[in-house]
Amino acid sequence: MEQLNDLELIQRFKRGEEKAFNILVSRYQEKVYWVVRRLLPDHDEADDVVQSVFIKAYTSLSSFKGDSSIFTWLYRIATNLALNEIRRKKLKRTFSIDDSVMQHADSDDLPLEQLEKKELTACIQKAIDTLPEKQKKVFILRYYEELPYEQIAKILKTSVGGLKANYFHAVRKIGAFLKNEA
Amino acid sequence: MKHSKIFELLPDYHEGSLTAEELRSVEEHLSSCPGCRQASESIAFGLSELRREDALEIPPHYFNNFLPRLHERIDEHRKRRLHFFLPSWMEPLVAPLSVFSVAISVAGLFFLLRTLPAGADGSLQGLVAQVSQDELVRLADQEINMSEPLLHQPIVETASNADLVSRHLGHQLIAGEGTAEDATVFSGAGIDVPEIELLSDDEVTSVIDHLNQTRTL
Repeated sequence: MEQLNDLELIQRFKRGEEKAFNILVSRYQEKVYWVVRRLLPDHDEADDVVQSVFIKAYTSLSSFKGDSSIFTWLYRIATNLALNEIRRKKLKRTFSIDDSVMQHADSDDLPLEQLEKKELTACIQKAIDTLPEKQKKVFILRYYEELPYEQIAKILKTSVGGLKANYFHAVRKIGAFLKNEA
Repeated sequence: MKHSKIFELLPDYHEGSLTAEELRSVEEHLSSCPGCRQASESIAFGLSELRREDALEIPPHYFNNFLPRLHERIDEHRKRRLHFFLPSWMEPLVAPLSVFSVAISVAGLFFLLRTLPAGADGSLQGLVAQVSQDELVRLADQEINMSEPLLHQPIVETASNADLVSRHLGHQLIAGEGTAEDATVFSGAGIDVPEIELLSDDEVTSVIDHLNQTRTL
């Protein structure tokens, strides 16, 4: 069954073959994870969202019409759920104390070079966080996932020209943010 | 080339993924446009910083363990969908409550059938059970008017009652009692019903109604 293409697996799943779903998960779990993880740097949070993505897929796959590829469909669900989680976190943070102090405390024992890289990673994450949602999605899919613009256009249902402009603004803003933080 | 078009090409320019023609156009534009040159430097800085970024840490065997954990979550999700209708604390009570409600329904149905008023279902069988032998004797002997209409048919159907009733009903009873089928019953009970077979069902019904109104045995 592992040699079957995505559409054939979906058909099998619709007929009640659970194994077909498992193969789809194995095929896309890493890609989905990394898209979500770039949007949500915390592994546990990302893991939670990735599971939600596949639960959503499990419950909705029977109504999947195949207008787009499963890959595009999963990426769309993943980015949407991850951004929902970010919104939820922002709202929560508004009503609670800043936990950045605790995060810094964990880094006290690291060697200098590692600490610098960790700080840079945190800084890049902050920079990404400042981006508008559309630019954030485009940036993650283009920079980290290295997807072609045509593929991203299908996922986000937008034009290639608009995506290129979004990607340019995203990289420029991240550069400007890092420069200010340096 | 327009500035906006150059902006779109700048990331690819720094990633080295432009066509030869696009590359030439961008370089020409940058040499003569300070604004776009500044934007290009920003992009270059951003991308170089991004390349310095460490790979994110991930627990070992995360992807190997993902599927079993996912199926646990899917099972939980299914259960939670059931809980949508009932709070979790009620879940252990579902089975006993179901049995109890079925028992109550059966008992209720049984009680309803037993207490159904005579005639309500088109049958008068239940009336016999409601009138005790002693009461019939008392009614017959005292010839009292009953507060509830006591129709003749079930009484007559019970042979022992029929004897009692027949003494008092006489020809008055014959005129209005039952359908043509009842005549057989009346005859069997020793009541003289020479005319009843000649009556239509409607006529019999109207006589019965009349008797009910007078409530006279």
